[in-house]
Amino acid sequence: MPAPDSRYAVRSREVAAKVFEDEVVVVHLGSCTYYSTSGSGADAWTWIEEGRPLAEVAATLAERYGIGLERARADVDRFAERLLEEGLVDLAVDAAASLPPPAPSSNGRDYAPPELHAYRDMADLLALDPPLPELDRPAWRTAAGDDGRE
Amino acid sequence: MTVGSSALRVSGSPEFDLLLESARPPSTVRLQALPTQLDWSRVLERALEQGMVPLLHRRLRDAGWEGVPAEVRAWLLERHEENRRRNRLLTIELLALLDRLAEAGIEAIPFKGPVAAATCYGDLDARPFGDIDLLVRPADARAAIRCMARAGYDPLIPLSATQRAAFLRHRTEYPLQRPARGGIVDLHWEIFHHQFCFPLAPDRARIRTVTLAGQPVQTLGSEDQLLMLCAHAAKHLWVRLEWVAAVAWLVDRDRDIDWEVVGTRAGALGGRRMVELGLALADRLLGMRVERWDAREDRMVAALRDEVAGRLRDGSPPPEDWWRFYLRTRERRRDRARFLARTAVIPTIGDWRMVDLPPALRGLHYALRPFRLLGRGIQALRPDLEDDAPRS
Repeated sequence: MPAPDSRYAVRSREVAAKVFEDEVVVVHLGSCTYYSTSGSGADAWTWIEEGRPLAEVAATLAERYGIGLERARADVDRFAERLLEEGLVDLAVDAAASLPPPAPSSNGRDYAPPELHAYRDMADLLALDPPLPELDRPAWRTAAGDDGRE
Repeated sequence: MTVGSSALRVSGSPEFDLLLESARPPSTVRLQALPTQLDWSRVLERALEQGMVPLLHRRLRDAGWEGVPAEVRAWLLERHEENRRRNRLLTIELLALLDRLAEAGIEAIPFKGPVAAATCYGDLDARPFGDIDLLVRPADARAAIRCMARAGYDPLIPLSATQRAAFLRHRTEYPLQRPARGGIVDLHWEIFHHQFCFPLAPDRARIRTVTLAGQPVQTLGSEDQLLMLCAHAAKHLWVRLEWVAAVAWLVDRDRDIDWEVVGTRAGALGGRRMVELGLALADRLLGMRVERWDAREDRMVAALRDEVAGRLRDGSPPPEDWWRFYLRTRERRRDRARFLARTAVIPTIGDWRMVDLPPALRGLHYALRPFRLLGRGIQALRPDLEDDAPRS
């Protein structure tokens, strides 16, 4: 389990991340793996990427979503460990920069623990056209004609 | 604008009508109730072939999926998710690359791909794309390749050192990819290869900024974007309805397009007919009429428009003699003659790879090219992926 004052640094030569609406997309350029997180996960990623200590990330998450600090700590630790395992971040060694606190707003969203979804099929997705669905004898065709037209 | 008249029936089937309706830009769309009897297999097949899956998804979603069978809806949702992930990955890869190139002092202008989706549709998810196109100044091409190599990109086509030097000297784009097979990056130092006799260079005074994932990115101005879209589609025989949609949406969304500039630039490049054809297709198929465009009477435009519209409507394959179609899209005799001459003599990737000549004899590739063409017969003028390929 990471220490409360641990901070992480994104491995910026191999990892790139952007916010699309309410989703944070993280790409490991070396392995062409696509990661997606939203809600509390997008918040946690943003604050971790800014270099905030995990204790501060958890406290802000607890405040923003109105949950207990212990629960927030456990969820943030689990999320941060996952980021580390996936090779997206390293433990930061430089001194922490002084940052203003994040805005305490959850936009009315309910809390769900931060999740990181990984998609490892991107190379195939970039290379292939999708197969069409099985529509050989679709139910919506009329009994009278099999070509679906009048 | 009016470009001849014809008796061509654009509406061929309820399936094609649905695709046409999905392609229409906001100012021309009139949502109709879905026909009760649609051959959904045909709709999806045609949508896939013509790059229309994202716009079809959007049309059906906006109508609340009414009348859409569950299997079709599930398939479209799955494709939408895949398209969204692919486009976002390529956008992130593009932004990371632009940062790397900027750090190296290289100005790169992205075109097609994410920036075309953003400028034409205002929506990254509305267009399918599978690669990244970046334009650098010719003098920066080698430095850009080195920079990309440092960022982990390898040449897509394995070439020896001498082949590579010849390739860089005679071609105008270099495809690269990471070993993990992410997006292919086509690094261009000219938008179109010399072969196509359309030396479109960005009008730097009209460069525009679009925002991708919150990051401002410079790309072609709408006037150049329109020229690029029309010339690219002409090079690829207008095989996708989505290319017509992109033209119509761009024109619909950017009401500040300077049509005089479009006309002047297209005329100077001998590309007026290509623009006329794009606008005529947008008008005929999607009802997007540009009143401020000073259309010229050109029977060839009307003929090409009807040919393309009929092919898209019927789902017919494009003609095999792609070069003949391209010739007909050019109005100046000298461009047609140059195109034929260059296609006959400019060595292609296939030529470089077939014979690996030492640097002193590189010029022989030009002499060998016509013989290679003759050897393959006239079919050699057909596009293929490793050769002259008009790739999409």
